[in-house]
Amino acid sequence: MKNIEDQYQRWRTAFGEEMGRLEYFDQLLCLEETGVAVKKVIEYLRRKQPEAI
Amino acid sequence: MTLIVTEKPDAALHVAEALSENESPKRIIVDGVPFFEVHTNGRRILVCSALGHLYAVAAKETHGQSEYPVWDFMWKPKHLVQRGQERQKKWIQAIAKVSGQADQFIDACDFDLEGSLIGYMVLKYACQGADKKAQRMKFSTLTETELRDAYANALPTLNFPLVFAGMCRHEVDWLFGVNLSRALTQSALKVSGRYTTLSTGRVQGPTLRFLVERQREIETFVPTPYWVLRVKLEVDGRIFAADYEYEKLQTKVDAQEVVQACAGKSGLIERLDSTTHNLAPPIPFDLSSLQSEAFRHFGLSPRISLGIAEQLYLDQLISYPRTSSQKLPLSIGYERIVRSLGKLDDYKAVTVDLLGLGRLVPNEGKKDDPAHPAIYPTGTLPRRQLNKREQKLFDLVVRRFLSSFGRTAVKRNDKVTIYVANHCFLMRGSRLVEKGWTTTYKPYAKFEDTVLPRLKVKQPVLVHEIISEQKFTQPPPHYNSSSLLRKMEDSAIGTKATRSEIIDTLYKRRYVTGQQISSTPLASRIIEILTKHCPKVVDIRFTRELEAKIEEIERGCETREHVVLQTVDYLKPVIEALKVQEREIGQELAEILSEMREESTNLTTTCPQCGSTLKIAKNPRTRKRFIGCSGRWRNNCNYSLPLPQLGALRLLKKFCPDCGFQLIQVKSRGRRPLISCCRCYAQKVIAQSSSARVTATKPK
Repeated sequence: MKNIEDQYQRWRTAFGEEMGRLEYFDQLLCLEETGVAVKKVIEYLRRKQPEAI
Repeated sequence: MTLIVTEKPDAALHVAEALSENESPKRIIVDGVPFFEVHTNGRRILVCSALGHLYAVAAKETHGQSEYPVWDFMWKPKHLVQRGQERQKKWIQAIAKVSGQADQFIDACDFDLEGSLIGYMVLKYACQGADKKAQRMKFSTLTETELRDAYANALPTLNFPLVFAGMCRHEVDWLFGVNLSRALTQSALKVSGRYTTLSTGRVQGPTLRFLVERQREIETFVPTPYWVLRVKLEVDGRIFAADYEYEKLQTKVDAQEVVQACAGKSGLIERLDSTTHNLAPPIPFDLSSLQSEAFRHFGLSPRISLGIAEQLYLDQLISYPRTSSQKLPLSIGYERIVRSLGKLDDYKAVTVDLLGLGRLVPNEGKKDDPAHPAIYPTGTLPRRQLNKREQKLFDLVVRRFLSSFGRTAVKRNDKVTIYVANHCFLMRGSRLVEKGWTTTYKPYAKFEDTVLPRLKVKQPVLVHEIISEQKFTQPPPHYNSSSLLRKMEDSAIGTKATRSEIIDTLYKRRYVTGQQISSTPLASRIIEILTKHCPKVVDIRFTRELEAKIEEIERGCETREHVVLQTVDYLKPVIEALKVQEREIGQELAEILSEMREESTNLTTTCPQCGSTLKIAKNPRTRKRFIGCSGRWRNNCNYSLPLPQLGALRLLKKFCPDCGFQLIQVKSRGRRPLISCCRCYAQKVIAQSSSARVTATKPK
């Protein structure tokens, strides 16, 4: 999870500050490069703790 | 009478043929075991062979296969230790019978750790203590000249440091393998009640760790975005592609700024640079580089390529393949080999070219092996039709050998620097200006020329198109057999001879799958358990230290007994700790094993009649396998589908395009894997049989 959070900051720098967490998670889920474990964590958070996203 | 011991029957025949003076060797059968009789200088010589290792390390007292820890061991005939080794028993008895007549013994096994150990064991146990008076033949190819020379100049004693190093390696590996594997297997068995062989070892553990760690990196990979700029420039009415000076731009804003600044603008060619550099000929093959190259070009696994190389060695076509040397000594006779290879049509032109160079000097690598030179063709021409794989590997060895003598190739790199609106763009090209050795190694050395147009400094250019492309960083690649082998070699774990076997074992134990190797959840759990309870076992530093000690034994600076005792001292507390936590470990393993079992037998497609899970099952009476419905008892559902009865069955994660049913794969030896849909197959069979019935009952 820490890795996903750290990368979020890099994504914000790359795309501009306006990039929201929801959009970031959506994009990660769509990307082929994203690891299976990362996708599982995001899906879990979406279902169980949507407020965390 | 002289008794010569070789490692394999084929080698025995070659030794006998080389030593016979006039007549061809006489084949004598003693209790079903072949010996070859020849006469040299009036002396009778019998050449016998082992069948690889005839003796193996085993527990001193015969406990059950399940008991651990086991610390007392001894060397025993292999047929007493392993099942299905009846042939080895016959071999030992025949050698023992014949050895009584001999007054001189010569060990002519391969001159390496394993070969020295095989010869020593046969001489010591089967020939009743002949190891003390035995001589040693040292050779790297099975050619007549070299074998005769090795016989005439046989070393007065066996190479005992090499023998003891070999013994030590086997003993240490046995202590690790038996105790750790039994600890894992028994822990799982006691909890789940089902037997599954779970193994780990001194080299297997760290190797599996590499794979599990890489899998984890891939699974937890979070990609990072970056941008690449591609520009098309118009020069004199023609369009050429160029790249931005920085390969990657970290932010979208940066990329957009460059695009806006350069779009439709004109610029100037600032510089034209050319550099040439020499490409030295490839160095001769050691085993690892041969296996790597064979995997890269032919997709052959390291174990298969080693097997083929050994067959080529036994056919006298190449030198001994289990070598870590990258050097070719002058004594092998470069010119003789090149001339001889020139008799083959494929190499005629190349050899003529090489011989025209004058003095032949190979480009050698750094690695050396005191026992054998690098792998090279002996110059003997094939006496039988080689099969496709043998032909490919032979060609690879020959071309590599010939190209190592070739002229240096010269490559020219061109770079054009262009400035547009203060932004720098580059055009790069390269081509081989002198082909040198690449013509000899052509099928395996691929260089693509990128030729740049003729341009001048200060020539104007116009930006025709500039595109900013968004990309994402890629996860690290999976290991394949070749890259894993390289990783093991770089980490100095295992030996050239055993690495490929270890990779194979990982597949057998279902720790890994696929050509692009992925580790399974079972492997991750095993590594988790070992890291938690005995981290040193999966630590490459520990294995590397042990390898270094074994090398010291080889050099005579360390004793075998000392290293074995140190290993026992280290392993004792580890195994005892594992034993105490057997239940906890077993629980963890049983869970994952049951998941894997379900995954391999439960279909994801549900029963079309009652919606329950479909399973691969076996009829207890006929032992035939089929797909059955798990709702048989609950819902009285009798839905079932037939399955192929032969071959290894695997459920695929693919579905039938016609009916959507989960596909299965059947793999049989020597055949292409068959992918089939059981439902479509069953419907087809029913349709065929009903139409046959209709035809049969139709009145004439």
